[in-house]
Amino acid sequence: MRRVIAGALSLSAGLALASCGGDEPATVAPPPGTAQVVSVTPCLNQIVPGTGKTVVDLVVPDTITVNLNQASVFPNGRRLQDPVIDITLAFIFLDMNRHGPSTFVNMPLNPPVNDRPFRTQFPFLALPQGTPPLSGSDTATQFDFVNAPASEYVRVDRTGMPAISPALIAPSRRNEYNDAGPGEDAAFVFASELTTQLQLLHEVLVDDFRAAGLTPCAALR
Amino acid sequence: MRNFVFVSMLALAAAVAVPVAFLSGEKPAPAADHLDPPARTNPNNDSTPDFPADIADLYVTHDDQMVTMIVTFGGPAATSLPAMYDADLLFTISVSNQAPRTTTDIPIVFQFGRETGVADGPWGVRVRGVPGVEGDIVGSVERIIEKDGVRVFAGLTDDPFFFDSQGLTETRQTGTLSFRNNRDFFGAQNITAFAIQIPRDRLENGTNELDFWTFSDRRGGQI
Repeated sequence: MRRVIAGALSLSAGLALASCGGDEPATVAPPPGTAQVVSVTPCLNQIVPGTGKTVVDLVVPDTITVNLNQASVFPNGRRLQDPVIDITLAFIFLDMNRHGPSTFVNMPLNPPVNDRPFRTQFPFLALPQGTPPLSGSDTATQFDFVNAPASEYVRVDRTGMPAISPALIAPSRRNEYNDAGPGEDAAFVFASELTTQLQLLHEVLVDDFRAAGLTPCAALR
Repeated sequence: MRNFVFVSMLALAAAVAVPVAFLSGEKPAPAADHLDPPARTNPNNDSTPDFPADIADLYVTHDDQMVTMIVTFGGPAATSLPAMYDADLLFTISVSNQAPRTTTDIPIVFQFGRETGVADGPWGVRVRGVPGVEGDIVGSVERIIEKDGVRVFAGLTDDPFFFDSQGLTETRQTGTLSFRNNRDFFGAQNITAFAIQIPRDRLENGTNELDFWTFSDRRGGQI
């Protein structure tokens, strides 16, 4: 099954550059290094240390997966304090045989913590900043909730794993992606999007990774 | 050597930022799921952005006893603004605890409404579909509600996401390296959130892994 997936992803990666829709921005001039990237399939199929899962397993379907018998830390769940972007950048860009998922966290690339400490008790989120108007009540007990059939509702947004839609789906297909669900993800309806965006990113970045002493996971010419 | 590595990593970070922004075509660089999908929620792409329906992040944590799910939406927002409650929205957290992992086994639905009979009155939250809870969970926002071993909170909070989204935008606009690990675009900003804490034995199914995702639906169609 995994071979089928890898084959589909590899094929789509080669074709999808021409598949962008009408609202796609003008193509950026290929930077140095473009010709070096052959395929990002090795990135998608590499095992992420500590998870026993491939990158594809982690991002498709677009859900947060939790093994309750293992420690609660991203990508096994997602805690408020987890630096999810730096971790994700590592496992989609770097060779996990040479670098760990915490490579960028240890630098760090991005701010490593929230600007306010999280509470230690439920609901854990930090209190709002400033003095915004609040809307709660200690006395209200009856509220008017809309009781309408499901047929009256239309999807607006969906999310699971952080940043999958903004980072790896072209704007032209974001509405379609958000209207879909894990079933479509697992059927690889959006495989071309994932591989296209990831390959474009690798093409731009491969020289930067190497200059920084890091080994990209993409297959290079 | 340390400086060299740091500078290299800044260059790398900037390089990461540039293509993401260029390829997205969005002026405010999105992060986790803020302002996505842009054609419905980003003011640069939509003249009537649906901020209250714009989900930002989903968090799922667990310990020996409980599973906690948190969804943030309608942000980031300036600290002077109120929460983004909207009575015409449904928010669903889907939980799958058996194969296939792509179908919902436990749908937990959140909804907001104002106090009965009070014009512009205080907001309440209703939660439906919680395993082990008899009926709905109903109570005021910005209070912790407890029923049948489950805790619920909905309200305005600090935006918990941290990331230099501004660096993405500036680097794209100027071509100058401006991605910094000491600049949190989401710092000093708020967001609306709901959270629910459930005994884990109400979700777990043997040793099966659990899958979580969330979505928003608007009554009457997108605005």
